[in-house]
Amino acid sequence: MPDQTKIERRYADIAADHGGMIARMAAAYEREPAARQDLEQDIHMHLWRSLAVFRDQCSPATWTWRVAHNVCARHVEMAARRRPANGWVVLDGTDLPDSRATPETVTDDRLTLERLYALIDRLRPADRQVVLLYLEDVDAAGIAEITGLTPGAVATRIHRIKALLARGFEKEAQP
Amino acid sequence: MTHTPTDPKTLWKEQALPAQTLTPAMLETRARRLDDRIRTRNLWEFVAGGLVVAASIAIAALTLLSSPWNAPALTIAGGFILLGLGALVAMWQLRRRTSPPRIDGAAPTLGHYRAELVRQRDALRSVFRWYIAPFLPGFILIYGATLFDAGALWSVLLPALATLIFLSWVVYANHRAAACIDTEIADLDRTAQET
Repeated sequence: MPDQTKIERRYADIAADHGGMIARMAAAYEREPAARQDLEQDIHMHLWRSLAVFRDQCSPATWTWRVAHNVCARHVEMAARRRPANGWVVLDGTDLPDSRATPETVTDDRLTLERLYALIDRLRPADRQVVLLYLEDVDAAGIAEITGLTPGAVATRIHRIKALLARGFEKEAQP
Repeated sequence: MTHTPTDPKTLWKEQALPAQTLTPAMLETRARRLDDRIRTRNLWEFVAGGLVVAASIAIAALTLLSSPWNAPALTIAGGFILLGLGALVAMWQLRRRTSPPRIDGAAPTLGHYRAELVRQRDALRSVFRWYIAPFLPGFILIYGATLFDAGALWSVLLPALATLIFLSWVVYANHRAAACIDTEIADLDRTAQET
């Protein structure tokens, strides 16, 4: 087992490199601020604990992504159980939710972000993970390694995500 | 007015969301709190199990003390002791089958998620074997004791029927939940097979 000093050093490096991503992922899985902070700390705690069994099976970034997604998946598990089967949406069968849009507010980036969050919240776990990784600029090979999807499935999903985001943003660009 | 939207990736990554910094001491505390929660839950389970066994033994003893040691009394007393033991087995199984494994990053996320779903589905689907069956010998002996007295048969018919309906409902509800998880697993498998 790696010694504690090594684990702490490794954790510090990961937290410095990926702390922002962890915060954004927690926000994508939990909108209530206090619960979100709690989830973020949970991710850090599980990540820190997991480093005791980290043997460079993959890159630290991939390891971090996987731990973070696994913690978040467990966090939403109960909520997902309560969600009706038709509560999920598919990537190519939806638009960015726009229930609050008015001519005055539609130009606001913040609203776009809110709509993005609302969309992410309604996606199935596999789609949600791909969207989040895409937004974090992880390339297709990286997404495949983290999620276990085939490169082809990742490519298909990225194509749908791009189309979906383009549709949403086109709407925003309308006068 | 026309608005040139920011690229979604940029918008996403530049949102004002400060990352929390946790020191090793804070992480230790949080990990300890999690372990304490699990330990407390386990302790309560043991206490509850102990109470069930104690209550079963007390009822068995009361049955034997309040009536002659004939076949019906011995059968009922034995039934309550088996019921207590059954509760212990069910509680042990509940803990064994519902404690989630430790999280790490060794496996791809969807594989990990699928394994979790399979574990939960199997636990729900086999609920009769590990949660209902341990209670059955106790119930059978308790209700079966009335066979010694034809006059008492009708008095236990209603409670026996209520027990049967309740246990059937538990099995049915768990099977329904397992079917929902199965749908999710099938969906994940379809996703994984896409090329």
